[in-house]
Amino acid sequence: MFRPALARKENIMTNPWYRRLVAIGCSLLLIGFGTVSSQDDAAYDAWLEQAQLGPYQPAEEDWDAILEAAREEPPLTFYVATSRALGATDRFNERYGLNVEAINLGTNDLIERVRREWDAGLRNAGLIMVGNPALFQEALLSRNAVTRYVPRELEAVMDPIETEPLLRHRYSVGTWYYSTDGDPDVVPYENLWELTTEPWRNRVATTDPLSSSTILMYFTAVVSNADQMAQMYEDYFGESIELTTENAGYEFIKRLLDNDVRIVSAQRDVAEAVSVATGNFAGMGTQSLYRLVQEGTYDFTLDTTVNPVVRTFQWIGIGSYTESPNQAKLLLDWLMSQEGGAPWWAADFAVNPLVDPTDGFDLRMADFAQVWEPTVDEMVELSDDLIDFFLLYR
Amino acid sequence: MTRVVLEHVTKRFGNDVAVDDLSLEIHPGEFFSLLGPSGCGKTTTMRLIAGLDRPDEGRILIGDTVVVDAADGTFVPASRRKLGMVFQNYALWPHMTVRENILFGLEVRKVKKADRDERFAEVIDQLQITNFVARYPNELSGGQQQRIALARELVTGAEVLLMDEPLSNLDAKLRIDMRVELKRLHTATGKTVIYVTHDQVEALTLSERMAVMKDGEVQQVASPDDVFMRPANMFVASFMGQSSINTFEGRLRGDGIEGEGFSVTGIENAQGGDRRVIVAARPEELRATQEPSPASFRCEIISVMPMGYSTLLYVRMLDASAERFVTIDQDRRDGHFTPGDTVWAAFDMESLHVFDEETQARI
Amino acid sequence: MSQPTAPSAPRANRRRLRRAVNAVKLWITTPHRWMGWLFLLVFGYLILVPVGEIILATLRIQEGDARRAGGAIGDWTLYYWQRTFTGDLSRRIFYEPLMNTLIVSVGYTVLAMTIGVTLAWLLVKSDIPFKKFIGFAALIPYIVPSWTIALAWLTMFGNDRVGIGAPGILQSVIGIVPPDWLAYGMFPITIVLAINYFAFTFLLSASALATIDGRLEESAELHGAGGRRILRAITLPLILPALGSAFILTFAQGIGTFGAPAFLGIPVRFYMLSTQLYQSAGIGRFGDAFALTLILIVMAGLAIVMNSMMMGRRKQFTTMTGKGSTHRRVPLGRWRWPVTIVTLLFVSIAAFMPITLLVWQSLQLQLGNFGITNLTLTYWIGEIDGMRGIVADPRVRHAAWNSLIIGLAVATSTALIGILTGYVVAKGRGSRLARVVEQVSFLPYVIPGIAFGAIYLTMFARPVGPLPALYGTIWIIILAAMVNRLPFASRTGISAMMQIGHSLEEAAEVHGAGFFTRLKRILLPLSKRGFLAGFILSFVSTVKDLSLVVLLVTPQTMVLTVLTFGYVELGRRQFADAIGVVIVVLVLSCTWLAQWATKTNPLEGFGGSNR
Repeated sequence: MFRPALARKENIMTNPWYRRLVAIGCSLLLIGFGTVSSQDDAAYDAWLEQAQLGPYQPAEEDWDAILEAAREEPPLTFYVATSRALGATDRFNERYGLNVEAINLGTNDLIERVRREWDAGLRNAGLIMVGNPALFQEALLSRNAVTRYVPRELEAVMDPIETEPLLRHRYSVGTWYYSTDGDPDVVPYENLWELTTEPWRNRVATTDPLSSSTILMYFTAVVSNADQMAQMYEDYFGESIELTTENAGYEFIKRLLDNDVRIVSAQRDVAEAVSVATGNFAGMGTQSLYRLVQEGTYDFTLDTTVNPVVRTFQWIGIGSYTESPNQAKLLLDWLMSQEGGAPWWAADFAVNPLVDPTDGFDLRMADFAQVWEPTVDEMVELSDDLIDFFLLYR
Repeated sequence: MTRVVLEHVTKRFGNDVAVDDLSLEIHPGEFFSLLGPSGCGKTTTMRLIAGLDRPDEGRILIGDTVVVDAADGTFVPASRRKLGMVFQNYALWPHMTVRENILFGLEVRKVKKADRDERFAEVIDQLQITNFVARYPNELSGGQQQRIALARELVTGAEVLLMDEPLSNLDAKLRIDMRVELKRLHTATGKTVIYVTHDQVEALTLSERMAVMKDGEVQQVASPDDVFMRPANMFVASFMGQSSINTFEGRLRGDGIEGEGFSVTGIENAQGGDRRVIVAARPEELRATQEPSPASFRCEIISVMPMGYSTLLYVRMLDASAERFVTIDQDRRDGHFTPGDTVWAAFDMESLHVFDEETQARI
Repeated sequence: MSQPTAPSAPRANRRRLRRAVNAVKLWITTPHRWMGWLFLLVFGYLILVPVGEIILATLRIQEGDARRAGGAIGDWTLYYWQRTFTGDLSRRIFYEPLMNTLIVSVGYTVLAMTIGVTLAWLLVKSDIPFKKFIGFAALIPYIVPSWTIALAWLTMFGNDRVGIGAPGILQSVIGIVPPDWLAYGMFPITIVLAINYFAFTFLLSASALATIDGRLEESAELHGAGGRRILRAITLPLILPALGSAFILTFAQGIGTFGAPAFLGIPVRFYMLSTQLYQSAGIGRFGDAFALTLILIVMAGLAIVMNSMMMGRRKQFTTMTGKGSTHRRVPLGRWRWPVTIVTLLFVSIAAFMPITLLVWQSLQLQLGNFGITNLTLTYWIGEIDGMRGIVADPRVRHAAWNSLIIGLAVATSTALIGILTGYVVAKGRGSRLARVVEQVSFLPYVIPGIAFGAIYLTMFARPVGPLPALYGTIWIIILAAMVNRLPFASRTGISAMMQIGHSLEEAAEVHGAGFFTRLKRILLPLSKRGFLAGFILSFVSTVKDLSLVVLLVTPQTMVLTVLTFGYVELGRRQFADAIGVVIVVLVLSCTWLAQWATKTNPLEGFGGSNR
C-alpha cells in the first residue's frame, strides 16, 4: 500500500540533500536580486524630448499635431480610481477615434499596482489619476514614475500650487452626514466631540482608514489640527482635555473607536448604514455621495456647518516612458475640460477655474464652514503613525 | 542462438549486496535455471541481464555484444537488448486486448504489417490461444494469461527468453501442464531460456543446466542430476529435496567417519586427513531395516506417517548421548512399522553426502 | 577489443571520454532520474526560493518603511520581527490574531472531530438507515467553498448592528436581533469552519474504522463485552492514532483559511492570522505580512511534524490489516430512529441550507427583506444602480472566463506533473532522489494559501531568473495555484503510479519501447483514472479558492471568487450570493462528474485523506 511521505521517519532537515537543495535555492535567489533596474537619467531625458514633456514642452500645444501623433501610438492604458472614468474614456475614444483603455482600481491598489509594474520594468501606465497624495508621492513621484504635464492654456489660468508637483484634477472633501428623526435641517450634534459620547455609541459609521484614503486624510487633519481639537473639546465639555495619547487629535480618534464606531469597507456602506438607520446616525465620507442623495438612492443630510471638513485632491500625470505620450496629453486635457470631465463635475469640485459645475449640483466649496487641508508632507509624516495608532486601538 | 555471459557481476542496493561477484556462462540454446530461496539474488541477476537494473561492477555479454560494462559505463537499455521476458505476474497490459498485447513489441519495433500478421498467426496457433485474442487480460484465466505472456515474448523473435517464476501463480495441476508446454516450446524454438524459480522441481524437470544461488552467490552450476545427486555444499544439499535433510556430525579419519551413535567406512576422496565433517542424508536416502547392516545405526520409532507410496518414519537415535531425531522416507513395500519398534537405519553409500564442517564443501 | 598493454595516455583519455559519453547516454535513457532532478530543480525554484525570499524580506527594510525602520530600503534589520513579537503593536498584529487563530482552530477541530467521528461510526459500524444519502450529503459542505457557508451564516444570523446593517432571517422574519457574538466573530467562524471540515474528519475516521478487522470486535463480543465496552476498549484505541492524525490535519488545514474569517471577522474587527496578514499586505506593510506568513508556515509545519510522529506510532498497530472484510453492524436498537432523524436533519441542513439561503438572498431586491414580493432576478439578469446582473455583466463574464482558463491550466498541468512525479517516485522507489522529490513536492502543504499568495506576489513582481515579471498576468495565478496543488497532485500521481506496478512498464521496456512510448502507450492509459480525478479535483479547488488568489488578482486577471469578495466588501451581497451560487453549482457538478467518471470517491484525494 502507498504510504505517505508523512509516515516516513527520516527527518528531512538532517538530510544532506536537503541542505544541498537549500544552497541551490540560495544561489538562485542571488540571481534574482541581481536584476533590479535602475533609472537612467539620459534615457529619461531622451524620452522627455521625444514626448515633448518637461523642459521640452513647447510654448504652445499644437493639438492637431498631437492628435496625429496619438493616432500612430499604441493604445494608452489609463489607471484611474473612479469607475466614472469608464464613461469618460468611452466618449473620448468616440470623439478622437482612439482606443484608450481605462483600468479602474481602488486608490491604494492602484498606486501599489503602478509601483509594482514600475519596479518590474513594465511601463504599462500611460496616464494616472488617483488620490492619496501621500502614498502617491512616496510610491510613484519618488521614483519619477509619473511625469508632470500641464497644458499651456491651463497653466495660464491656474494657481501654481495646483499644478505642482503634478496637476490636480479635482477637489473633494471628507465630510459628515447624518440622518435624524427630527428636523433634517438641524444637525443632531453640536460638536465633533459629541460623536464620542454615549448617545452616539454604535451610531457613527466610517470606512476603514486602512483601506480608505478619505477617512485617513480626515484623521490626519484631526491630528495635525490637534490644538484646535483641544479647543473644541473645551468648548463642548467646558473643561480642558485630559490626554491619554499624544494629543487631542489622537485622543479624538481613540474615543471615537472606543464608542463602538461602525467600520465598514466601502463608502457606499457608510451611506447605506446612515440611510437605513432610525434615529440619530452619522457617517463620514466624501461629498460625492451627495449626488446619490439628490438622485434619491440614499436618504441623509450633509453637514456643512458643524464639523470641519477635510479637502483633498486627485493628481493626474503621465506615466514616465509611456509609448503613448500624445494620447496621454489628449486624454489629460479632455479630462480637465468641461465636457471631458463631466462625470465628475456633478459631484466633485473642478480645479480648472474654467469649468462650471453641472446643472443641479448646487454644492460649492464655499458652502463648508470650516475646511482643513493637510499638506502632502503632513500626510506623509502622519499616515504611518495613524495606521499604527488605528491598529492599536481598532 | 545466443549465449549470455556474466563476468564478475556485483549489484548492491544500499548496503545490501544482492549479487556478489557472479560469473556465469549460459550456452546458446540452453534452458538454464537460476534456483534459490527468496532473496538469493536470482531475480536481480535476471533483471541485470534484462537491463532493468544496472550492476555496480562487472560485465554482461549477450551474444558477442557487451550490454553492460561497469568499468566504462557502457549500458544498453532494456529496450535495445532484444530480449523476451515473462514476468511472474505476467505483466499483461490490462488496457489492451490480447491481440494488442501480443503485437505491441512488433509495433514498437516497427515491424512491417504483413510480417506482423504472419508472426501473430503463427504464435497464436502455436500456443492455441486463437479463441481469445479479442479479449482483455482480466477476462482470462491464469493459465490463459500465462500463455498470452509467453506468446507476447515468442512473437518478437527474441533469441534469449527470460522467465521470472512464470508458473508460480498457477495451481498445481496447471503448473505441471505448463511445464510440459514450456519444455515443448523450448525444443521447438531452440531459444536460449533463462529461467528463475524457487521451485526445485521446476528447475530439475525443465533445465539442461542450473545454478543454485544463495546470498547473491552461485553455490553450484551443474546439470539437474549433478545438483541433486552431488550437491556441491551443505546448502545445496539441504535446499534440494522434498523434505528437510538429516544431518549427522562426525569426524573423518582415513576413509571412515565416526559419529555419535553411528560409523561409516569407504568414503571416497577422503583426502586431507583428520577433520570434522557433516554427513547428510535425505529421508529417501535412509532405509529402515529390522537387522543391522554396515553403515547403520540403531533407533526407536516415534511415529509412523503413511504417505501413499511411502511411509515417513520419525525415529530417535538410541546410541547417541544427546537426544537426536531422524526422518526416514521408507518404501511402503518394505513392511510394516509400529511406534516403539527398534529398527536399524542404514545409509545409502551410493548417495552419501559428506561435507567439511568448516567450509561446508562437499568431500 | 582487448588491450594487451598498460594503457598509454591517449588511450586513458579515450576511455575517460567513453565513460563520460556512456554516463550521458545512461542519463538520457533513465527518465526517472533526469526527471527527478528536473522536478527537484523546478520545485526548488518554485517553493524553496520563494520561502527563502520571504525570510530575507523580513530581515531587510521594505518599501515605504525606511523612515519608520530608520535605515535605507534593503538594509538588514530586525525591525519587523521586533514589531511582531515585542513592539507596541505586537498585541494587535500578532498575539491577538494568534490567540484567535488558535482558539478558533482548536474549537472548530474539536467540533468537526466530534461530528465527523460520530458520523463515521454511525455509517461504518451501526445499522443506521439511509447510509448512502447521509454519506453523500455529509460531503457537500466540504466541497463548497467555506466562504459560501459564511455568507449563508450572515443571511441567517446577520444583524443590523454591524456593517451596513442588513438584517438576517432571524431578525427580519422572526424578529430576534441576534447578538454580535452570534452574528460575527469567533463563534460563527468556528461553527462555519467546523461545518466546512467535518466531512474531512469524517472521511479520515471512516477509512480508519473500515480498516479495523471486524474479527477483533467479534472476539471481544465472544468474550462477553457489551457494545459500549467494545467501543471503548477495542474500537477507539485501535483508531486513536488515526483520529489523532485526523485532528492535526484538520487543524493544519484551517489555520491559514481566509474566506470565513474575512467575511465574519473583519466587520467586527476580529482578526485571525490570515486576515491580519491580508490586511498588512493590503496597506503595503509587507514586512509585517511576511513575518506572519512565516509564522503560519511554521505552525502548519509543526502540525505536520506532529502528524508524522503520530503516524509513525500508528505502525505499531499491526492489527490494521487494511481489509476489514468482516463488517460488524452494531444495532442501534430503540435509538435507531431518533439518531437517524437527528443525523438526517443535521447533514441536510449543513449540505443544503447554505446554498438555499444564497439563492434566496441573491433574489432579494432589498437586502434583508425576506418577503415574497421582494424577490427579483435583477441581480442575475437585470440592472441596478448602473451595475448589471451577473449574467449580463461583462466583468463577471471576464472573471468567469479567467476562472475557467486558470482552472483548466492548473488542472492539466498539475495532473500531468502529478503523474510524472508519481513516476519518478514509484520508479525510483527507495532512492534518495525519489524520496527528496516526494518530500519537496509535499512542502507547499505547509504553506497556507494566503501565505503562498503573499510570497508569489513579491517573488514574481519582477523578472526572476528565466521568468519575466508575472505580476498582473494570469500566469502568476496559474503558477501559484499549480504549486499550491502540487502536494495533492503528486500524492494522487504517486498512488496511481504505485498501483501500476513496475512490471507493466518493464515489460514494455523489454519489448523495445522507449520512455515516451511507454508514457503514451502504457503509463498514461493505465493512470487515466488517477489523471482524470486529479484533473477535476485540481480544477474544482482552483475555481473555488479564495485564500490563494486574493492577493494575486488584478482587474484583468479577476476571478469569480475574488469578484465575490469584492462585492461583499462593496456591500453588494446579492451579486456576491449569485456568483457564490454559480461557483457552488460548478464545483458540485464537477466533483460528481469526477465521481462518476472514476467510479471512486474523489474526496479521497480531495482533502487528501491519504496525506
